[in-house]
Amino acid sequence: MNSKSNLNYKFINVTLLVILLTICFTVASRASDVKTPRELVSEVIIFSNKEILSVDDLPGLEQQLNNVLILDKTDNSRLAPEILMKSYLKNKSLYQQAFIKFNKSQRLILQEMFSDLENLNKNGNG
Amino acid sequence: MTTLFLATNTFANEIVDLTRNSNVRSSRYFYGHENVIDLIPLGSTVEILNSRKLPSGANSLEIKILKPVDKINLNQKAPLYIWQSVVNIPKHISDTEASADCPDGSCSATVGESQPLTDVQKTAQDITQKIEDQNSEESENLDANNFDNSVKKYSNSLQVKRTIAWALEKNSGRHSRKMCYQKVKEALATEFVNGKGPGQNLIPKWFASQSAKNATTDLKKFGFINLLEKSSFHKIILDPKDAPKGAVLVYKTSLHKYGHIEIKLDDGPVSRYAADYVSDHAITDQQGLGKKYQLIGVMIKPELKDLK
Repeated sequence: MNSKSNLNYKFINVTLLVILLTICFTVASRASDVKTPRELVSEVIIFSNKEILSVDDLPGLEQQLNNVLILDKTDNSRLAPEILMKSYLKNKSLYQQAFIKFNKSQRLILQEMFSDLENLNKNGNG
Repeated sequence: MTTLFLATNTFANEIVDLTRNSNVRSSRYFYGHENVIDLIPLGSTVEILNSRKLPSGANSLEIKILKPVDKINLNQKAPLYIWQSVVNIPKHISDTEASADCPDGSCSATVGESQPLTDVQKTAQDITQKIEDQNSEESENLDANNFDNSVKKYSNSLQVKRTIAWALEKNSGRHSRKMCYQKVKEALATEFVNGKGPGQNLIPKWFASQSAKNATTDLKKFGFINLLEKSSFHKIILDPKDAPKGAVLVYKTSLHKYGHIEIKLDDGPVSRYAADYVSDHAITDQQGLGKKYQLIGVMIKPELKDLK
């Protein structure tokens, strides 16, 4: 009886250990996926260096617009879209293609950003 | 005491760089402040049009301002005079002084004088020179101190308080819509674009413009000065954090031709900044993005009238 209950305890302990390790692994892998704002900014800057975009750049563009949306939660100066300003003005149709991949609330924010960039380019900030 | 001037040439009209701040006066009288028009900073370049030896042995220099650019308009108030201490007169300049014109006969008796001075004359000349040296230096130091005080007065003024209150009330919790200059002018005027609001604050009313980076010239029309153009502040203000409370910070950027503008809302390095949004960071400290911006103006209005 005693040996049976010991076996049960051992089984429970091993199971708990496996669960704990699984949780640790998941948390650690997710943490490595989360990028810091500086990393996001660096990605946007690197992407903005390419002047003329092609259809091949569409996935990259979607990624950058996603980065801009993430940064928008913490940076109300909205500098990230400003970095993409020259790229946006030269590749509007591709930006529109990327735009439709986002959900409604994200589209509203992106639409506001695009219209602000158009306005800045046309009328300045005064 | 360091040499007052670094002569760059010794021809007819000398062009020299000032090695300290100097009062610009409307007459050859170097006591008190009655005839002081402005203060030109260390590093200013001036052309010496005429030089006259004063009874003390010091020089009265009639000048034309060549640099800094924002002081050149003072030339319209010519004649302009600055004072040069006798201990700072290089030998070659004083040598040429003997032939300086002296139409009203008020030049020093020592100019061109061949006979040596008596002890009494020497003592009298020493006393006059020391008094004049002391008086002129004191008045110039006083101007520098007065200026520090006027920066503090600006930061603590009712006009700046109103501007900050307006900026916080209208822009807190908002995201930038790329209308920084429009909103900063509203805060300075305490008046909306459409004219609603009390107005008559740091600027009398809102005015139309296009580019934030032009604020360094736009705001000068309303009595603002750029502290980065003042030699004594140029070395102190290296970063928006060093700017005084209420200063209007102007930037240029490589991202577009319009630049950026914001108001520093608090004293010290931990401050909020307001443009068409309010942030805990100056634009140059925004998550690695700020490297694209360069501070070109720290604008304040040093001569504010007290408001009640």
